[in-house]
Amino acid sequence: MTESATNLVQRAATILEEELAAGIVAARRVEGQFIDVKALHEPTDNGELLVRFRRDAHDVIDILVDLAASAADGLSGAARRAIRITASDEPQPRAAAPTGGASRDIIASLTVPEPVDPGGTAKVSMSVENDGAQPTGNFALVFSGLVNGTGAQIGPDRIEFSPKRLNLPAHGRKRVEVQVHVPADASSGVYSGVLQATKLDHVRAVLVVTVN
Amino acid sequence: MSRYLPDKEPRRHLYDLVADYPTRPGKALRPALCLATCGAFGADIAMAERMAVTLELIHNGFLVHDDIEDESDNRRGRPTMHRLHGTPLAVNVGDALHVLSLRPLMECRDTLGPGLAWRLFCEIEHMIRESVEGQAMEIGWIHDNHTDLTPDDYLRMTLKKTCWYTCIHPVRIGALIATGGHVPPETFDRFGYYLGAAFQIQDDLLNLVGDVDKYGKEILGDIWEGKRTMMLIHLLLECDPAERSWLVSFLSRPRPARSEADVQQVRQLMDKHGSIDFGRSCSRYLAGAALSEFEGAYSTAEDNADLRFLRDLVLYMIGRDL
Repeated sequence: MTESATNLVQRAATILEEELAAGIVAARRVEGQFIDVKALHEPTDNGELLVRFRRDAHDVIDILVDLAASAADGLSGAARRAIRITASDEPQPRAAAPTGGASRDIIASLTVPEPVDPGGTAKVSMSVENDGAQPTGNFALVFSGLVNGTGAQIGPDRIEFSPKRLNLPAHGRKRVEVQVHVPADASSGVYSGVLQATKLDHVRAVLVVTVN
Repeated sequence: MSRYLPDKEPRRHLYDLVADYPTRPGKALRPALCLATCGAFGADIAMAERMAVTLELIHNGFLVHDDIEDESDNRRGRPTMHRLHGTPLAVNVGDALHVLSLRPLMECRDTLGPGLAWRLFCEIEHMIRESVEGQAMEIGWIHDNHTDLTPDDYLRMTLKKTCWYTCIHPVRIGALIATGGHVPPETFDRFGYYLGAAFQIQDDLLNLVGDVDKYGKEILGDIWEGKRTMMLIHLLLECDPAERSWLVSFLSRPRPARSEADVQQVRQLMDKHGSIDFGRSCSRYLAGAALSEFEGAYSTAEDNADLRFLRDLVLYMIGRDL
């Protein structure tokens, strides 16, 4: 039993994962009545959902829910936005004020230029720019993880930002390096996920990585 | 919280009683985790106050019902609700506490916006559902006299009965509020699970080795109830066949048919077979794992008093002398 005490934490982690997998469909079913997650995924049945989302499953659904929320937020969100994420570290021309509700106006795309092998590290830099006349205060970049078209995932613990925290002055700009450590057993495909900033609504970017 | 406890009739049989448990001295662990997590991520903790009240009212409703289900005599140093006022009134008081928890939750729609409020509602719905499912597991084990349980069974039951509502959802809710919903709440699941499980095992240990004045509940009450704690499960697995046969017989009897001598015998067997030490080891391993997960889950939090409070809480759990 002494040995079992030392293994307790690992067993607890497994139990948590099993419970999350078992509960994920039911846990989000109520949300699905308001945001059509089912239509976004087009699962054939709950069992398929369970397999697809078994590991860190909430992450995947949260990405889609957030994207749907972005689409719904539309113009009002963009009007409040003062921070921009762009794919290069060069200053970008100011975007014209959006006139419609399209969420793509407020979501940048960060694509790692070259495919990366399993076990390798993908790198991309981006520019985070404060368009506003006020400093941003401290904020951090957070990431929900990557998922490909078959449901395979690369967890958020595999993504690193440097620097991890930012505090931009008015009209300030900072280059941020993003590294994605692709697991050695990752399946091939195009992975994408949403990057966000803590405490700053409507700051989003989609990161795209192709794994060989 | 008092703002959400009505000062009106019917007082004698409802609202005076509703205010009883929430005003007894308690740890307020759930609101503390919620508020401190909100503060650690740089937000004004006032943003999370309504959800902290919701969590505490739900918890107090659970306590009233739990005391009835466990036939407990004392809670937080005083007689339990049903011992003071009878089971029918106590059941209704528990119901009322749960109903009253909805008002601050509803108000979040105005203070935090409809999108975030809906996510918080989903957190609460999941939290309550897991808790009642876990409670059903534990009561069912006693009712059906399950004596073949393993530590894995205990961990699963504790995750559902205790951890979601004691730790996981309070910290998830605090983080969601602080970040406007822009943090993956699953980031905190392992931290909350390990902390909650360590907390529950420590709470069960206190029932076996604690001081009634500090614990606030009857010592050895869990043995009287036949509660399947980690220590009892360990004892059932480790004792010899003759002891096991006696123990299974003891557990098969209803509480009134158990004697003080029998309860003391179970307690002594736990010492003989190292069940108390096993529980202490489990709790410390889990608390250590919670500290490890804490550093990752709160890596983007601000280094402020709230973050230090949370870290100190985990360190206290590790160093707690039981």
